[in-house]
Amino acid sequence: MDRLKTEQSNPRGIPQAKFIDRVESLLNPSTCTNEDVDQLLKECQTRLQQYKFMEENKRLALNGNKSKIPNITKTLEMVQYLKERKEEDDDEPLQTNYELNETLYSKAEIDVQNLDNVYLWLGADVMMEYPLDEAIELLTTRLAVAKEAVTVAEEDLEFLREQITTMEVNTARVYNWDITRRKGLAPK
Amino acid sequence: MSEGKPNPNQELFQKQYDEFQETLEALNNKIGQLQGDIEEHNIVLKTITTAPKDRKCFHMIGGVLIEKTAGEVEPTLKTNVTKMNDAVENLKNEIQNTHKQFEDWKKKTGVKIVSANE
Repeated sequence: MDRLKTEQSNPRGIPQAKFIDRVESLLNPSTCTNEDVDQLLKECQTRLQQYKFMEENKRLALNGNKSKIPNITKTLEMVQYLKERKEEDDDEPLQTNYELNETLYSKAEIDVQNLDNVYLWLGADVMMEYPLDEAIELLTTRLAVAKEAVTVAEEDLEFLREQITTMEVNTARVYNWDITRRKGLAPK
Repeated sequence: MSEGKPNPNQELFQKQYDEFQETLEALNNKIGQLQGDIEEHNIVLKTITTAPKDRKCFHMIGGVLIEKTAGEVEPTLKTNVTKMNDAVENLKNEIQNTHKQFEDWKKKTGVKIVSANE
């Protein structure tokens, strides 16, 4: 497997695929057997499949992180709004609609003046109590982390796509090289 | 996908090939899903361990929301992570086995995959 790898890898340790510039550097045209060529082609295939597998996994991770961002943003805005209302010296309770069930809403009042804590879903079926300021802090960090993860995943996907192309071209080059080689052998 | 002239087995081979691909894809999806869950649990665990142990904390178990404290929820989450890690290991073994079966099947039937792309 090593002959299809370079020393390089991307920041997440995904190895870079080696571009086969000259097939002769891997196979000696005068001594190599059909099995040698098949072996190399097989190695190319395996490597290609590994990259594709990684690509699929990365894509899933990326979609997961992407879908989190709007949720965090909305929650953060809500907590910030509650905090603003609390700081205003307004005795009016906050009128709101809350979802009782799908398409069914009911009216509620929030006593913002005496509101100290909110409950946040942390994920993994866990909801924890947070003072307003702590909630804002947590959500802000979460948002930054999610955005960072999206950037990283997009970078990795881009890198993986390049490696996939390299390996596809490699396979084609070895294959065509082999055809020429076999033609050269035929008359003998 | 099978090689050669019209072959009475062609339909059967196609079906078997599809089955292999479907199994592999299903296993991969399952692993991805579990790994996502594990990651989520780990993030929650990180948050929960920094909170005071008596902080009010709810845990949804089978559709029921139960009031607990942060200190109580933590061990439950830890066991869940261990269980999910084991499950991922099992699924990875299963993928390897299926791959092996697929290779054996290709050898036995002489089927060659002409195009690896969908």
